[in-house]
Amino acid sequence: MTVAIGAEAAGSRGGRFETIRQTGWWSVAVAVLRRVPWVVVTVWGVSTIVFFLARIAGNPVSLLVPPEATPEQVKVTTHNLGLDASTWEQYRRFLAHAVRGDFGDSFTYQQSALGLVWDRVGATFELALSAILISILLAVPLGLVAAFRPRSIAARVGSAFATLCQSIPVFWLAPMLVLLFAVKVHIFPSSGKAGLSSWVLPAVSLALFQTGLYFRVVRATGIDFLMHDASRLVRSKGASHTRLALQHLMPNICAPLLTVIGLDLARLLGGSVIVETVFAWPGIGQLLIQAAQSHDYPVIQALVVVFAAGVVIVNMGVEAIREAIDPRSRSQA
Amino acid sequence: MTLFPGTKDAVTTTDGDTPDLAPLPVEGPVANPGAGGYRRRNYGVYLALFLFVVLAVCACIPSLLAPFDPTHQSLNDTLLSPGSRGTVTGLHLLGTDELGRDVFSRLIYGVRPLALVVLGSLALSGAFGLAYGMIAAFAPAWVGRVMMRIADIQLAIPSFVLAILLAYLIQPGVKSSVLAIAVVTWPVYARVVQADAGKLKRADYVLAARVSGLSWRQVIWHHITKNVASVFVVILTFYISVAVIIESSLSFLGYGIRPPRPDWGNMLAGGVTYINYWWLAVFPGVAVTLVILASNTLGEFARQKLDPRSSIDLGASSIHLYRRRPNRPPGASAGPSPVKAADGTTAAVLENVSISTDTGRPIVADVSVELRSGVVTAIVGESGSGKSTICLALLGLLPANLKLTEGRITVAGHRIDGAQSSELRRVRGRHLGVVFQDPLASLDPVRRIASQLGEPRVIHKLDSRKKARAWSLEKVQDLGFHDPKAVLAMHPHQLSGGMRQRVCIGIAVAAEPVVLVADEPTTALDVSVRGKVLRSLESYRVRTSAAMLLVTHEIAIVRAIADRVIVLYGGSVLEEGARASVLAAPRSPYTRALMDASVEFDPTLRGASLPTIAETVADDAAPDAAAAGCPFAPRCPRALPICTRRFPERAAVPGNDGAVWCWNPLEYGDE
Repeated sequence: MTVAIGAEAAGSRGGRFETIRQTGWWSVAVAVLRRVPWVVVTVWGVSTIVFFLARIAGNPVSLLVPPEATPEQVKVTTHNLGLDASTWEQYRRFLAHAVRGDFGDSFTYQQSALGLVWDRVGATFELALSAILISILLAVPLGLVAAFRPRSIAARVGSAFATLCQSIPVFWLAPMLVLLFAVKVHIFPSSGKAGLSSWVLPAVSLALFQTGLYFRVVRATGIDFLMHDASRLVRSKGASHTRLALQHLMPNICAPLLTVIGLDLARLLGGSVIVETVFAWPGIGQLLIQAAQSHDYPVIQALVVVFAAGVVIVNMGVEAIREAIDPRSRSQA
Repeated sequence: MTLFPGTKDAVTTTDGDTPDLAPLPVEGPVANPGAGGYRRRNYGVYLALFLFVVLAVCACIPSLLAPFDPTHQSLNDTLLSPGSRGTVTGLHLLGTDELGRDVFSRLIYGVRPLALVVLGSLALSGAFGLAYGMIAAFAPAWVGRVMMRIADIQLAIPSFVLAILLAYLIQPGVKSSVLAIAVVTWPVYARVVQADAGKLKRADYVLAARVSGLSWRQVIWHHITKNVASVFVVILTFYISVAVIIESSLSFLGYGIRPPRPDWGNMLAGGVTYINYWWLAVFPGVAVTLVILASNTLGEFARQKLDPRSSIDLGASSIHLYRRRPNRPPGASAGPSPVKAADGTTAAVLENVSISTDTGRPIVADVSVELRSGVVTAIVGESGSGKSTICLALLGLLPANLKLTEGRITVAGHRIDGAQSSELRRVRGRHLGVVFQDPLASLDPVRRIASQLGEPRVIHKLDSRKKARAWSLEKVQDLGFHDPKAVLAMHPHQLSGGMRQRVCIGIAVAAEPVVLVADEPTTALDVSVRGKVLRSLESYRVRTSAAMLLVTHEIAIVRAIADRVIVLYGGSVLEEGARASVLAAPRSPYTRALMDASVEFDPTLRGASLPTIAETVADDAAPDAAAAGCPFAPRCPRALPICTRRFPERAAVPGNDGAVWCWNPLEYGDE
């Protein structure tokens, strides 16, 4: 009796397998709920960092009153801001207000800081989203070509383009686009948010860096997939390149791409500060610069918290979606 | 038949020093893609280093290169274009700004604040991040977790926002920029260090060092520091560009180095104000871009040198074979093809097939195989003998670096060699099903079994997608799963190895091919499930009387299910024939050695030393690519002088429908 045949009687493991997890939208909901405490902790942590940074850096009153203020004025302001209380008492009050969404009133706009931020969030969100969409539309086809034909001219051009994308700083790219397409040739408006054409330059400026990043991710995961057995089996079924790319490669690329999009979000929002400043885009990035210039402390505090909460919440969504797409990440969780 | 008589015992002489049957390099993805030329010399690194040297000079002694005082204003010479000559001053290479200051000189003087901020912040954040990450990795688990959570919280704040906040709280300048960049980047270093050190802490060799009695302190010093250091240096190099971007952005926004002190960021901000005078915005931008490009290049270089684990080796073929016989006139010495013209029972044929790498090294030489309906043909041979390459050639899926140089391949009446890819696609799956060695790697990890199993039927339009699903359910039942619905809803990683391989068999036979190829179908599986997998293969053959090609290195499997055997060594067929007679009375010394070296369960072996294939020449006596003779000659105990010079002719073995290629074959007296 031979080893191979003899052993089969010894028993197979055919009937036993890992527990099947529920999949679909329900699992996404569960994944989201599981992360809610983490979001709360992060937003609390960020508020705390912001609060104590201000205290470490010095008495905010000196920033808030005009330089020529009398000691009387300083004292009044200090009392009005509650800064004559102990640090812990101030922190307690800050948290108690922050929980209710109250970061104080803006000094320059005479309205609630959070409300002011809230009015501007939409514009930034739209800009960031359109930049991400532009990047995906550029990077995925280019990356797929580079993965399928790694030594073709298209792949080399793509790689060079990606390197360039990641090397041009947005604070230079944005003025250059203005110079070329708004000053030299009047195709697009140089600033403001009015009509579709005003979107082009800000969105493209913001999109370029992560286009290079996404391209690299798509190319690397694509090559990885195509070099391994899974793609060989698909091809041995008689599948066309189109089918291989769309039905098998794309689902495998989605998870890592989503992860990178999520991880890159904080950088993207940072870039939007510059883009909004250059193009006078009425979002929270521009508001941040204005608030910093006018020492509008409540607005800055509210902004930082909103920025951080946005990053954490989007990341939570990305992770949840990734779990729904890539079953492997679920079993590791 | 034989030229020289010999005894079969001669082959099995056991030599205590010789390794066993797997002394040769193994084919597989680990192998280096021998064919050179993929890696170009990286001139970019030299350029990047040169740029950094120039920058270092600019930062240390700017007056050496700058023609003018960067803050000297000359209101007669404002906004001069590049290359113009000022009224009093002289040539302005890159023009002047709105105050008549020389742009070129300002660029050079702008290097120093940039360098100070970048180096200062890297040192500060690197030191802090390194210490933080190491402590988090080696502290008690819960402390480490809390520490990393704190780092994560900070990462949630966009770095510009935090940097602006810091610069706003402190007086803007070099110090505030250093602090801002250090504060926003340290969590990245901490994360990388903690992850790497944590991974190393559990690495086998570190555990081995622990077991051998080294204290944690010694282990950290000897094993972990060096490894973490390389990863740390790589990430630090990459973050040069991040620091440059943040520094210039801060200056650009007015929260970094402030005018009149020259800095690329604030020069650019001025350039935006005077956007019509293009040189004011273009030159500082080009400078920043070049520096970022150079640091990225350097980072990439550092990663390739220091942390090769993380870099993807592009262009490496997943299949690599290493040794070939030199060009032998095809057919000249191998004799007439043993394969008859395809008749009604022939499902697939390889005729005098030779395959070589794109550098011209042969991998398969003059191999002919005929696959007949209902017959199981086994190709046996050790790793690297070209078995898997033959399977891929049948599929028309040879990797890019391998080429079919000679011969014809026909599957179910379709020519494979030279066929258009559209025609190949019609054959693959439909006429030819294939089962690969590693079922986990083969199945698409993110698709459910349901969509993968019936896919060939959809591709070849045998079924609609819906019908294919119904078919899959039935098929899963056939394959012996207990809960077909659950299996269809699963992803590959949820199945055991044997179950996966049965799914792969289901895929291979989905479109009812007339040829079934199984490339080492049981090698990656537990011994206990091999029988089940082989039976699934067999049952399809019995039901449809398809032809089957079984590639294996296990004699036991051959004995169990093969009808015909082809023995392959170094890309050449050395023997073929009916299974019973080849295994009972092998003619080729190699077949004999292969059989003796494969350990099958046999009580009489207890206490006996295990036979190996003798190494008569050298330890690594792989068939020499330059030799014209039999590839096995260097290891063959029966080798004759002629064996290394000429490949033997085909010699029919009487009464077994087989043949042997050997100058000095084994002989059996009773024939």
